[in-house]
Amino acid sequence: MSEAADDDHIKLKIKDQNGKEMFFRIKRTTELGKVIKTYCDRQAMDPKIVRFFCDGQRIRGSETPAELDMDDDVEIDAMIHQTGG
Amino acid sequence: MIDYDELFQENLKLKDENMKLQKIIEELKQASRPDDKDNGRDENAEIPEKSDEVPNLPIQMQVKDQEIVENIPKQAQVEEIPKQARVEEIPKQVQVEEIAKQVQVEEIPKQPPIEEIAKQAPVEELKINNNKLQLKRIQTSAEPVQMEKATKHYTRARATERKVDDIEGIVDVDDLVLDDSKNVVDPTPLKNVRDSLHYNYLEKEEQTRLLKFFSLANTQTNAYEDDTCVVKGKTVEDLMFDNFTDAEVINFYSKWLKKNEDIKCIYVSAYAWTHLKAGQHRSKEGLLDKVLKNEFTNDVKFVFFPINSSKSAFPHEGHYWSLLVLNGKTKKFQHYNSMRGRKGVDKYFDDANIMVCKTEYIHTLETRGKRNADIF
Repeated sequence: MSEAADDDHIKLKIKDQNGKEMFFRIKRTTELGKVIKTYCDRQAMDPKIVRFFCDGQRIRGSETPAELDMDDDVEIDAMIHQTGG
Repeated sequence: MIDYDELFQENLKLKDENMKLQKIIEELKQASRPDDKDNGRDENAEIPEKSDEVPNLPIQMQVKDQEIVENIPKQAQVEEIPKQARVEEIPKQVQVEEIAKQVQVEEIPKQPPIEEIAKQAPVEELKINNNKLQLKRIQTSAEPVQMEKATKHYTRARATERKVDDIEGIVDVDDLVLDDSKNVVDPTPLKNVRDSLHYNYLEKEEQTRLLKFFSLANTQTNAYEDDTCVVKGKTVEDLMFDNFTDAEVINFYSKWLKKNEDIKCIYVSAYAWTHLKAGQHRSKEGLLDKVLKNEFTNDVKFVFFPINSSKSAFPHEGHYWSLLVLNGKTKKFQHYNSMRGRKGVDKYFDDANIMVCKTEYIHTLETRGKRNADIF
């Protein structure tokens, strides 16, 4: 049973630009927007300002790990909105 | 006529008897006290019974006293006097009861000093009230300090919460219930495009398009959406009003160029540099190394690396765009910087050099020519 439960869930690692890491556990069918929201709440950041990338691919909140074919122990990079003059 | 001498003599007798009765009462009181000390309050109930027996004598005597006193000035009828006496019998008993009560009252403080406490309590309360007033005065002056302490405490509490999460490691997202109400923000409408300096230089078709978009959209609506880039209304507004240029704009423009230009070029994502600087290897690989590996052939004329560098120690605070270009023919890097100083160290050029050194795929190639960037 536990193996089956583990199949449903995956572990995520969100790494920000300063190298700080934060771990999440999520169902494969849950939208990643929930992870993004909790991450931004904990880090006291505005979700509009932060971008999330998985292997250079932009992640949107409406997508799920199942749609993106994410493996266990996926690393997601968080990046603050890049602007410049 | 009333014989005053007789009355006077009777009065004297009554006084003597009265004195005797008072002595008896005192004796009774004294007799009752030691009992109370030994046996406690239960004896108190017996005291009124004893005192009831005693007053039978004194009441009559005292009544006669009053008869005499009252009759002298008023010259009232003798028949009426006993009525008054009967009426006054009740208060006499009351007096006796009062005496008994006094006995009780006197006895109570010996065992439990309730009355003393009761008497002392208001004084203490007054003192306390005074102290409270003084405290309030102190508090009013000390209030801001307390507020600061409270906020500090709050921040500390939050910090510890986060630490706990870090120790536990994994946040289980499915169990969390998120407050959607917090995140709902009224989107602000965009500014009027006609105020933009660039508006007048655009063609009429573009003007009408922009007018439509700016009137309908808010800061959070998507002007363009794609697999790789999303351009928000706010970004377009920043572009039109000479604010900072978003990385999405650069990504979008590089895409547009790729579609519409005939020259074969590689446009590296604007995020690549930031990923590189932040040490996010997997994303950097995806955006930079894989792209070069897959697309860098001999046909490619130029490779464009937009660099968003910063002078601060934190890589996420990029504030200035410069462009690094790899010439496919000459295999030379060229750095384009519109704000290069004539003297001193060019920080942005150093960043470009780092970018050159870190493009690992190109390193593995047999590079012909200089690896360092030329300055333009």
